[in-house]
Amino acid sequence: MNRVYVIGAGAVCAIGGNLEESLRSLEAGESGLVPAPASLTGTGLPVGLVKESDAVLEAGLGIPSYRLISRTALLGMKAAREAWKSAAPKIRRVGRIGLISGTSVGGMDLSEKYWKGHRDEIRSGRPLGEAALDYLRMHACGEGTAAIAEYLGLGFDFVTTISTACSSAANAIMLGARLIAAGELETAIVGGADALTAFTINGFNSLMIYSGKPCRPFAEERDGLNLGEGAGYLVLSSSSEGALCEVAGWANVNEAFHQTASSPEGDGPYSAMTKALSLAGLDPSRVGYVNTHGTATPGNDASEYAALRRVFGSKLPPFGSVKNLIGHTLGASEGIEACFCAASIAGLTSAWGRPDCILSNAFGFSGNQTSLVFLKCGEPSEAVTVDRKEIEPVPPAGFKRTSRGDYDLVAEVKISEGEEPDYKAIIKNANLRRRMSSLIKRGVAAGLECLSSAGMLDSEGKLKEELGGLITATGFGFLEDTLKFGDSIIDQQEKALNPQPFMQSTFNTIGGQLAQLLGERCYNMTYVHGRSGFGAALADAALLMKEGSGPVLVGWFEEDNAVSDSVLRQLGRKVLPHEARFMLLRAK
Amino acid sequence: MEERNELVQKLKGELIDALNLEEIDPEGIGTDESLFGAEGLGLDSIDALEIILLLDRNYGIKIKNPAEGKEIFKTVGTIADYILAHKAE
Repeated sequence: MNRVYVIGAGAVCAIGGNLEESLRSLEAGESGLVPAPASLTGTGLPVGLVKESDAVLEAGLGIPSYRLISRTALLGMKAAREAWKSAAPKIRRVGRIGLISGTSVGGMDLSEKYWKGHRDEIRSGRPLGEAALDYLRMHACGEGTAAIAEYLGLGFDFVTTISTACSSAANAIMLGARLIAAGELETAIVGGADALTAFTINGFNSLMIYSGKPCRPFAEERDGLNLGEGAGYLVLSSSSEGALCEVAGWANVNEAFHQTASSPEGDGPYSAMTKALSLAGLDPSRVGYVNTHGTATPGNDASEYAALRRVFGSKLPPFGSVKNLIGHTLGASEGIEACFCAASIAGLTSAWGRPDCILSNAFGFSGNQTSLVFLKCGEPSEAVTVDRKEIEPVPPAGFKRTSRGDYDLVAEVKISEGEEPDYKAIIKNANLRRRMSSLIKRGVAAGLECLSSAGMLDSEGKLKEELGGLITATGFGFLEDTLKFGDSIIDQQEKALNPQPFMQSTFNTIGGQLAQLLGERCYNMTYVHGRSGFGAALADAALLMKEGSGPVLVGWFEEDNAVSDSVLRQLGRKVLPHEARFMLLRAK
Repeated sequence: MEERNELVQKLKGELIDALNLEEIDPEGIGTDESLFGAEGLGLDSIDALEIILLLDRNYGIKIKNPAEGKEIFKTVGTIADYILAHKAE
């Protein structure tokens, strides 16, 4: 097992156009929260706005202005380029290199603008004009990552996108670390990007957890979060040369509690934090600072604080949140915050004192919770004590090599649109089922049927054996719900919106619902990178089994949607398979 | 009292629609039965948001702080009482 080092970092957020500037503001405690500009939303809610306009970002990146690029991708390019520039001089051998990026809504900033004036034209399924295609082509999360990869031009061996709501970037960092630890990659650019959108601002506002005032994480009188935008990337390497710090531990769990709420006792956060520390071989007393998820919603902060108390007892280290300065940057949050963690350990800022070890949290909808441990280089730790099975190395981009010999395909179940089974008989929990959209039902049912035909479920529908992971992939995800919520923003002038379609549109919903139905707190991941995202999901499953995990449930889901089909056709790409397909894999 | 009974019946139908309680008919919801928690219907915080929207849409009643919903939404009866008390305002 290789150690994993952070050798470069780059960030752009509401308090700085690069990492150095952001660190200065962080140290000064300067807030970047401002009332949202009218061009974005009429709500006037506080947001963490990146100061550079799209045009300024494009000019700085040397991108010709005739090329329409989503703001999410522009922010990502800027931060990833800074990270790579700071790392490149330290690298002797790049070796196999990957780019793994997290995002919550991808190129929504661009597509929602066009949707507003051209809904009927797009929905009709008629051939789209050039302008429409320009605006819509980057909507899918993977397109932004592909644009960043193309811009960096490093000849990546592996490129993928993770979307697990607010833990996306944390999971991207974790996957990069796991691939380097396992020897699959030698260098990885990992993090996330998200631009502010009317979609997300109205989404959180409809859930009544968006504060009208600058947010106050962990304060008694806190009343919700503020969103922000930005991007942050780390360069991870198997070589320690010039390293800022080490990524010593990581863990992802599903809280299996509720789609949007956190458990009052902090069960999920407790489990993520203790697992990450135990993987690092570190006692909690070694932690010098905790960078919390700390969104300032009443629920998150209570749950996270309860978990901190359980992990650290009476010896709670200093902890804090940067969300009162930069806002909650959703899928980018841990990307930016991990840069702050690495910089703190390297002594580039004293905003958080001089910690040698930082525990950093990121929690997302559908119970997706991740903790990372950053450690000063040379500090003693028992790097990684997992039982490793001998499995042939997996080429991260594919799965063909491993499918032959290393694990068995125990069961496979496919449900296509129009061939719907009796969902009441399969998804027995009526309270969860009644809220599911048809695609969610299809995916959840395919997952349950797959487990059932693999003999994994008892007569009550409970798992007989723990799962090693629950991994899904999709191209456009829950597009119908996304469009429905987009429509309501326009039709109801951002007022009294129903939060259901917003919640359901989160890409990791099926994985989260399965975890909740099964009461399974295992590793939970969602790839949103077109067709190849499913390859990444399978590679992740193979990696989990190589790390010693039990059987892994891997699924693909995509709905039959005229809008996504029409965009793909006109881009000259293949339409994605409209089905829910799950496989259960088990190491030999 | 008549007014309250009528309102209670109407509310039950509206709740079933808004919350998509497909397997329950109005007679299946007790007026004083807990809506939230494991003992009653098992509704949750998202349902509470739906009820807030319902009160706004159908009765013109605005609840700004979701925490207030906890007391108001205990049962169909308490929701009816709240509507009757606030409709006059």
